[in-house]
Amino acid sequence: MVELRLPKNSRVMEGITWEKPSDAENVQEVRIYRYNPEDSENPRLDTFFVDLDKCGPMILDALIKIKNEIDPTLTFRRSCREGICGSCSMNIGGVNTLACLKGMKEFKGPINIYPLPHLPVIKDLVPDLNQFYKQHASIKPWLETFTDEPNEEWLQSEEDRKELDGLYECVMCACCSTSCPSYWWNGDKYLGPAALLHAYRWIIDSRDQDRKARLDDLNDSFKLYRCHTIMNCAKACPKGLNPAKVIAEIKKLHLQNN
Amino acid sequence: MTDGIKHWKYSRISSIVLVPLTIWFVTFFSKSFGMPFEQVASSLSTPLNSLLMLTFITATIFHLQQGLQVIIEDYVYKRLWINLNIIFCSLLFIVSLISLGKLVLVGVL
Repeated sequence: MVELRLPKNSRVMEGITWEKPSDAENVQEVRIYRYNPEDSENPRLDTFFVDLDKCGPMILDALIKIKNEIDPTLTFRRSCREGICGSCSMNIGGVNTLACLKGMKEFKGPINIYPLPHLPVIKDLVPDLNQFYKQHASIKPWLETFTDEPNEEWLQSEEDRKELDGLYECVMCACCSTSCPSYWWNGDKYLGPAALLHAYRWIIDSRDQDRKARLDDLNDSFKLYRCHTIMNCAKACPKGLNPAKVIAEIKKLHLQNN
Repeated sequence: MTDGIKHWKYSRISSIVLVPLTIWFVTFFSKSFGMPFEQVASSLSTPLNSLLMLTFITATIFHLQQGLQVIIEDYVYKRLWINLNIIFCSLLFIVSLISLGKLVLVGVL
């Protein structure tokens, strides 16, 4: 169901403006969404000033510096700091991306940082991804086989393996799904680009033996056909993947089978 | 579970069918500008033109119903609205059919 305004208790208020570092020459203004579930306050937008000469180049460096030196209560997910784990996904300057892959120099003026859009917020920049993971689990992200197990491993030719390029790289950061208007309005019924990309990764795996059931399961006006090729997913993906194209491929497979 | 590909396929087929039909529709009526009503009505009731008009109306209203349903599913998702849309498009189709039938069979009164 469409929602054009945030609920009253989710509207973002003016927050705290922290002091500028007095000795710094090269200062970057960063505005960060803050929400604490333990008080009854609305979310707010705090302003921080980061001394670029004493900070790494990426947004994640700035967040870590702020947490270490200015406000230790700032909460965000991070792990690998090199775009492999997909933890630090957030909305930076209006675009969903990974904080560890986004350079601060790419922005002019203040940088606004919000959690991923249209998800329940747990605290500050940490959204609730439970539903996102459940949707991923629902597409059975594992090899389904019915024949006897081979003595060694399930083999695959190099050509068949190549089919998985552009799919296996997904780090499940949720940037794509949470940038999709269809996912915003029908996130409970539409699987979203990330889960569908993973679904296709198993559909076209030459070793998988449950292709028909996988395709039949997706032939649903909500699970897959809420995709209207808006293409926000492809634009948002920090790994340069194209979930929209993948969804079109699944539609083509449906067309062949029906 | 509702069939996703069927709906997707039908809306694509109807839109492809509508491309030549819309060109015909626009050409026919742009040529008819300024002509007296009786003349337009009689050229519309020739077998070829009335058949094209019938196909145009059918494809348009079918496409309308399919398209509106997608919008309802996207933004409201209430079974009631989906059903109301089907009733509305059916009524529209019946009224168009009666008008065209009257024009072809009875002519201008």
